[in-house]
Amino acid sequence: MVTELGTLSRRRVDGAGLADIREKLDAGVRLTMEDGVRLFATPDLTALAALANRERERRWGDVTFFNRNVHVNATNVCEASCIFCSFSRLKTGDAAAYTMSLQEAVGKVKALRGELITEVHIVNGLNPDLPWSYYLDLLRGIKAERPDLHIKAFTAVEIHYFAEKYGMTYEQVFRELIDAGLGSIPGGGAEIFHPRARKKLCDDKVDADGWLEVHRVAHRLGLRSNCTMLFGSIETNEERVDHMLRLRALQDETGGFQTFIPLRFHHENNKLNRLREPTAFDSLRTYAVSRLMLDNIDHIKAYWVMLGVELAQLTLSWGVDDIDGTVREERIYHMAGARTPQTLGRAELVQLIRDAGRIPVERDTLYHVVAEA
Amino acid sequence: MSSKIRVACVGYTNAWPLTRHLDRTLFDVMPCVPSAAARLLNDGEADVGLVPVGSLFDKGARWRIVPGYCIGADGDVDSVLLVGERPLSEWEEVVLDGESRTSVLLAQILLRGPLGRPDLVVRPVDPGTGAFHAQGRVGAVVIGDAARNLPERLTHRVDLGRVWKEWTGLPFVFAVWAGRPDLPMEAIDGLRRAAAAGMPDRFNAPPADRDYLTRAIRYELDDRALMGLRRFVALGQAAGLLGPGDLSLFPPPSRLVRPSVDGLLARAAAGEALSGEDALGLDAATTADLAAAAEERRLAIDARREVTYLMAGNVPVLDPARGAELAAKGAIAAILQLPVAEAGTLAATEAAVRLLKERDGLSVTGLGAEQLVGLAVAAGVSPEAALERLVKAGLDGFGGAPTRAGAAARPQWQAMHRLAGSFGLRGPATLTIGLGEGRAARIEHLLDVRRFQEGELAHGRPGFSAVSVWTGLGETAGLDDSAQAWLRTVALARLLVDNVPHITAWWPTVGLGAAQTALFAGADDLGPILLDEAALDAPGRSWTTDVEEVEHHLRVAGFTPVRRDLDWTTLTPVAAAPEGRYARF
Repeated sequence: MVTELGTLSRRRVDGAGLADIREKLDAGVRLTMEDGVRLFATPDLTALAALANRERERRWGDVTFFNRNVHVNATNVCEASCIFCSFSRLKTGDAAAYTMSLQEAVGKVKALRGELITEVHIVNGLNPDLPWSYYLDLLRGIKAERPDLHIKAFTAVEIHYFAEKYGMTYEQVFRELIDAGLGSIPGGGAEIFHPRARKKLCDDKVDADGWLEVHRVAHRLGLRSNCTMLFGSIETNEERVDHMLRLRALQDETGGFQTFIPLRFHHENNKLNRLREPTAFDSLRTYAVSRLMLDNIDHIKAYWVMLGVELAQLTLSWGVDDIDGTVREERIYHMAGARTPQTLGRAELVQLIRDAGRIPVERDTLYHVVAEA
Repeated sequence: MSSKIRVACVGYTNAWPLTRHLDRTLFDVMPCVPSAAARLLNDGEADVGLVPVGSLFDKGARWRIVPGYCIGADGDVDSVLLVGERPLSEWEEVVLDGESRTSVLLAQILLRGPLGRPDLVVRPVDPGTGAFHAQGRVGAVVIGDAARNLPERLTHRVDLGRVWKEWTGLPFVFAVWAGRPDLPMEAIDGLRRAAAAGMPDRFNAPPADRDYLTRAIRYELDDRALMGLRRFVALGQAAGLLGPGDLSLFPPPSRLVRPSVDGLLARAAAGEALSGEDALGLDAATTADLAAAAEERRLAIDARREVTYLMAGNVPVLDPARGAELAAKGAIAAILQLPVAEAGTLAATEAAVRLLKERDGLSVTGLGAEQLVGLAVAAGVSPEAALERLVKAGLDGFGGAPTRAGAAARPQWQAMHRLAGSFGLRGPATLTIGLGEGRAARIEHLLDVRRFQEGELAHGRPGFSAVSVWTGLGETAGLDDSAQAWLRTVALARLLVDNVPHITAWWPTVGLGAAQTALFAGADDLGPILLDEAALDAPGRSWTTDVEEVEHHLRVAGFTPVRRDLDWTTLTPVAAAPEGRYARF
C-alpha cells in the first residue's frame, strides 16, 4: 500500500515547518487545536495536499464515491434571519417565497421514476405556516411513490424547530419521522459553532449544543447523519478548528457521523455580499485540514454545486473522497449566486473522477455500492 | 491457490448461460436447488452462489452482489406464473410452490398490489407440486421448467414478470451472484467472464429453449435491473416479507496500480532533463508529489514568492478601438486577435499594430505560427516578408496563440518561432491540452519545446519566454482537459522545460481558482489578465477580468503580485491595497 509520503512531498511538508505534525500523523497521534491552527496558517498548499492525500488514501485508496439523488426544497419560507442565506426572513406571500403542495413535492421524485437514484435529500426553510402533518405526509408520499429511495431529510435546525413548534422532544420528532420513512439526516445548519461567529451569522438559530444534541439523539435512535461547516464568511481559523473539534468529540461518543462536508460561503443575494468569496486556496486547505483533524469521520465530501466542477475535481487531491451526486434540483446555492450547472450527468461525473486518476464508486446514502461506475 | 472457489448454482435452464463456462480450475461447482444456494452460503459451505433475491436477507444481508449479470426478466418471463383452471378473480386460495421463495414473494406482493387479491388464502405446498394442486378455485404459483410444461387444463395463466413490469415499469431480478464480502477479485472476474462467454451461446441453444433464453430472460444487471431489484427489496421489507438489510455490490479494487516514481521525481526536481519515457512515468505520481517536485524546481529557479501578470488584453485586428479602452484600464500591451486571413488582412494587421502603438501606447504581440502562415499565404508573400512588415509596423512579440501537440504541427511552429527569433521577437510557447492528443503527445510537445529552446539559445536567438498551458476550448466529451489534467500538465511543463524561465497558468478556461492552485505546482505567471470573452472562440465561457480579484487571489495564497511587461524586463510589485473589513481569504 502506497501510504508513505513521497520524498518530494515530505521535503515540502518538513520545509513548511510541519514535520512534527507529519510525525504525529505517522504515529496515529491525534492533532490538537494548535496543530489545526498551524495547518491553516501555512501558506504551503502542496504540503497540505500531501498530508491530506495520504490520510485519504490510507482510508480509501483511489476510490472516490458519488451518488445520484434528488433534492427537494419543499419550502423556502423561513423564520430564521441567517445573514448568509438568500432565504432569510422570507414570508409566505413574498415574491420569492414558495411552498410546494405535497403533490408538487412528491412530483419532483415521481419525475425521476426512470432513473437509478437512491436518495431524496430534503432541506427546507423554517416555515411557520405548515402543520406537522405536512412533513409526515411528505415522507409517506415519497415512500409510496418510490419505496426504494432512502430519505435523508431535515437538518438539525429543522428538527429543533419542529420540537419547539409542535411541542415534542427531539426523540418524539424523530420517532414519528422514522415511522413515516426517514432514513437519515443531513448535516446542514451547523454553520460555525463558536458563539462569537454564530451570533453574527445566525443568532436566532439553534446553538451549537442544540445542534449537537439533535445529532446525538439521532445517532442513539440508529440514524446516521452528516455534518457540515460553513466556511469563508466571518469566522476565524481558530473558529474553524474549534468547529471540527466539537464534531470530533461527538463522533467519539456516538460514531454516527458518516461524512463531513465543508460548505463554501456564497455571497450573492444575502447580507454578506460585501465579503469576497473564499478562493480555491482557502477551499482546498479547508478540505485538507478537515481530513487531518477529523480522524474519526470516514468521509470528506466536496459539493460540486457550490465549488464548480473544476475546483471540486481538484479537491480529490486535498483529502476529499466523496463528490456529491448528480443533483437534480438545487435552489439554495443557486439563489446565492452559484453559477454551476444544476445537474451533472452520471457519465460526466464518472469521467471527472477518472480524469483525476481515481476510481469512481457509485454509493447509496449509507455507502453501499449501488452500481458499477 | 490450493482451494477452489466453491460456487453454488442451480441447474435450471435459465442459469446455464451464466454457469456453463465457469473455469473449473478456479471454481468448484456445486449444483443445487435455488433455496439451497442461500443455505450453502449461509452455512459457509459455498463462497458464492446464484442466490434467489428472496433469500438474500435470510441471515442479515451479509452478502455482496457481483456486478454485471443476473437472472431477470423485462416483461413476460414465461417461467414464473400464477396458474389455475379458472380466472384469478374466482380463486379462493393460492398454493405457493416452495421451490422459489423469490417467486412466492413476488406473487404475494403483486396479489396485494396490482392484482388486487390481498384477501386470497395462501398455502405453502411441497416444491414442484404447485401445478398438481391448482384445481377448481385453487390457483398456484409455478416456476421454472415446470411452468414451461404445464398441463393443458390450466388455461388461466398470469405471467408475473409482465405484471411486475406493467406495475413498476422495471425489469424483475430473480437471482444474482452473491458471495462473501471478502471474495477474491479473481473469483468476481471469473464469474463475469463466464457470463460474458455464455451470452452468445444462448443463440445456439436447443430450439425449445432459444426463445426463452434470448427473449424472456434478461441477464444484464444494469441500472434498470438494479432499480427493479431495489424496488422489490424495499417492497418486500416494507411488507415484512424480507429481512432487514441493504443491497451492496462488490466494489472495484481500491487502488490503481501505480509504481513508485520517487526517484524520477527527485531527478526532475533537481533539474535533470528527463527522457520522454521517464516523463511518461510521472503519470503515476500523486498530484501532491508532482506539484511538490515542480514547486521545488520553480523555487530553485527563483525563490521569490512573487507571481507576475501582464496588464494586457485582446484586440481584434479589424476593430482596434478596444485598444483605447484597454489603455484606459491601465493595459500596457495588446494581444492581436486575428480573423480568418484574407488578402487584405496583413495590411489591416500592420495598420492595427501602428495604431495600437502610436495612439494607445501599447506593446503589441500575439501572433501564432499558424496565423502568420495564414496571413502570408493570403497576402501572397513569404512568412518572412509578412513578419518583416509587421516588425516594421512595430510588432514587439510573437506567440501565445494555442498550439497543438504532435508531429503534424511541429515543423510549422518550429519554423515560424525560429523566424520570429531571427527578428528578435520573443513570446510564450503554448500547449493546448484536450484536443484529442494523448498524454504521450503532451509530453513530447514539452520536450520539443525544450529541444527547440536549446537550439535557439545556442544560436543567440531569444527563444521562448514562458510555457503557457491551455485547455481545449471545446466541450468534447472524453478528452481529458479537466482541471486535474491541466494542473498536472503545468507541473510537467515546469519539470520538463527547464530552459524556459517562466510557466504561465493560463486561466481563462480553467478558472482563476485552478490557476491559483497551479502557483503551487510550478507556475509563476498568470499571463494577460484583461482578456474578454471574444479572446476565445468559446461562447458561454466567461470569467472575471477584475484586476483586484486577480491580485486578491495572489495575496491570499501568499504571493506578491508583480506586473510585468512582455519580456519580464520591467517588473513592478503591486503595493497591497487596503482590503475590505472581512476580505481575509
